Amino acid sequence: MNDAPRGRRAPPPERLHRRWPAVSESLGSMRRAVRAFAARCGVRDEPAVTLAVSEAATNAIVHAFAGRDAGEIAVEAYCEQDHLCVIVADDGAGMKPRPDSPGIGLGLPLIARLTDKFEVDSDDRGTRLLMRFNRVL
Amino acid sequence: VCQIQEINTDPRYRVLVLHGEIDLRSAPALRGRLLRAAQSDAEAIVVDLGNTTFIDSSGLNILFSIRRRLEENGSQLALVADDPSLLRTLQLTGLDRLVPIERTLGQALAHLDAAETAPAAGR
Repeated sequence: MNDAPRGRRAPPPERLHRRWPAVSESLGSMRRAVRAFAARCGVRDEPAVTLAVSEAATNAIVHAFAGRDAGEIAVEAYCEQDHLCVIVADDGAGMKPRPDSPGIGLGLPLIARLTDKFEVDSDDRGTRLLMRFNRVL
Repeated sequence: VCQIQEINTDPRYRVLVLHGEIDLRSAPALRGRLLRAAQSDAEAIVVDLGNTTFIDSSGLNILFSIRRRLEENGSQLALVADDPSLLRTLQLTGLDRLVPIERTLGQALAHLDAAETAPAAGR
């Protein structure tokens, strides 16, 4: 009956999949939703998840929709055996250098330090950032 | 949402206490408030993050830029922070190597006082 390998718990069958308008007013609600999900998933370092998601979404708001109407940011999160995976995706113009950027490029380096692994996939139809965080098992 | 409260404890220092979350939404108000404070003739600005529940690069960008502006004018920035997550964020971006960070407002003010008297004592 119990066929879980080596007595490990099966990952909770939960999945977060929500969309927000790509505006700064969405950030607080996004952070709270992801933080609550990370807690249910058993992630040790919830603040890291919250900050990394905020950085990814801020990048999308500032860069992906510069000079065009704001689109949407989709956040998807799911628990794996050892990790929480969070995907932040937008339907903007892709990741491009922005000479008039209001920041000094802290966002992506911060994400790199806060995640166990992250991948960026970006083209002119949008950007998809996958971030992975260790869970406590 | 971030609320900004100013405390006047010492005419040499401007103390701004930030309550709540600092992100892209609250950054413009914070930038304006800190820029105004930086234009005063205060010897230092203390930004108290003791009641701040979240800060991301939008807020950190402002702190970096205010710190540079103050330094150019011969004054300085000091921070108060105690929350481990918040301290980690300050450390990951290297701000802790540029700006003194103390755990309480009293310690930050004492640090500024000590920095002010130290050069005179050495002469």
